[in-house]
Amino acid sequence: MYNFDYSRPKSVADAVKAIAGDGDAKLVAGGMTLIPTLKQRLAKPSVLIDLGGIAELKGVKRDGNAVVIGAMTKHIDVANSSEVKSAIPALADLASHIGDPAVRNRGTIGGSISNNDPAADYPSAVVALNATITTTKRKIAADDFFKSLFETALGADEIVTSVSFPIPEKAAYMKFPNPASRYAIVGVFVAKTGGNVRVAVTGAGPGAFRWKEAEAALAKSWNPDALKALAVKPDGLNSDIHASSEYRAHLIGVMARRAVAKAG
Amino acid sequence: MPSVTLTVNGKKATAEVENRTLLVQLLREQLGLTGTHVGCDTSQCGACVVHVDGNSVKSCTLLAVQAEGANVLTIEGLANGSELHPMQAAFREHHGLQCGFCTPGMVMSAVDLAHKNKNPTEHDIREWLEGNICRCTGYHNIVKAIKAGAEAMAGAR
Amino acid sequence: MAAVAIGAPVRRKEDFRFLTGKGHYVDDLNRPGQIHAYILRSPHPHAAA
Repeated sequence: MYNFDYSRPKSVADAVKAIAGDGDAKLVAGGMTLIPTLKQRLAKPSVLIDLGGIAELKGVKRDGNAVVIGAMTKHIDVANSSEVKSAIPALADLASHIGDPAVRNRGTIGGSISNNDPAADYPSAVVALNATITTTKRKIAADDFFKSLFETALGADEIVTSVSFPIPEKAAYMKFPNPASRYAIVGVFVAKTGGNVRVAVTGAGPGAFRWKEAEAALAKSWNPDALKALAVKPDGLNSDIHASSEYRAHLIGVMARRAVAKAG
Repeated sequence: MPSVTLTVNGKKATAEVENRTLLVQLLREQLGLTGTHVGCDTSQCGACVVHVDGNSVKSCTLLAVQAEGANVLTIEGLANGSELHPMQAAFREHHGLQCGFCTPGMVMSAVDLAHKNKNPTEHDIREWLEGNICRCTGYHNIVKAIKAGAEAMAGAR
Repeated sequence: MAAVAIGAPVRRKEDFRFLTGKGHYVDDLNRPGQIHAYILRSPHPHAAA
């Protein structure tokens, strides 16, 4: 690991001050991706700005028809939150299967979505539930937030502060995890919110994406069988040592049907 | 050089570290607590699991400076002298170890599980162990040991 | 009849130290002035230096 300076601001305002004007500064949330990346010398930040000491970024609250999760809320705290479990059990379920327990004890929702790993779990929920991401500068709709592989709409000195999830009528997440890393080879989050159906796929492409044919079919009939006739084309899907693009395409259909069945 | 002060196994410890020093390096190389092992160094195997403020974490994936002020518990702090912690005793009783390399991480993960789930099922235990890899003996006896250890811990309360 | 050892479980002597973090593995050695080695393997199976 290359060495770096380290700062642990106590407030969001101080964190913004610390990152502004230093293009080589890097924010660290839970560090579950960044620290392994640093260990492999794939990143060389001038200064690491640790958001772990900022109390205002932590916690879950109900806000009308939405659940708002602070950016530095850990996966384990989302998984165990009575607020999330009662309002959006699918989201608590997703959080309870990210990585392994030691990762869930450190990893955060803000870190996960800002990093935008193509196989991360959270982006699928953010897109399928049509969440709104609040940053230090603005509010960003889920469809506009995730750009591409490890790329988001965030500016260099912009920090995610919270994510607001509208409460769905029905939702569920199913993933086919890599047996070693627990990352999703394919994960599908289905949600029906205010009569609108959204189906988001992670692990299969350069980032989470919507499967619009499935959305249309499920809007007509919320039933796993409604997806039976649909086939996903493997063109452009990820292909690696874990799974070919054809296999991933097949898994999208399987996971989507299982997710609809699970949502009930 | 930055200095970090934390509580390790109930004792205050202060050490000079680099910002890039990992918690596991501080524990093993500076505090001499070599019971916490580095197996894979890529956050997968769980041999380096310790508790930070009561939660199990991979000490190879945490900077020492991030543990400033924290309360750290390692495998060395679990037994009371020659009297094993109920989870350690259960691992011995049920032959939940062979070479012993993954054992400290297994035991620390298991204790965290038993704190959070008083009566874990076999399924709960197997899911919980996703982040702990054993290359000797398979997981069967480890799961048996954790079940018995969790029961013993619940009974001791 | 005397106790039969065959087939009976035997409690291992080494478990106590393994379970309490006192096992000793090569990576645990820390001697004064200790030198570390790292093997850098050639990416070329046959080449002129």
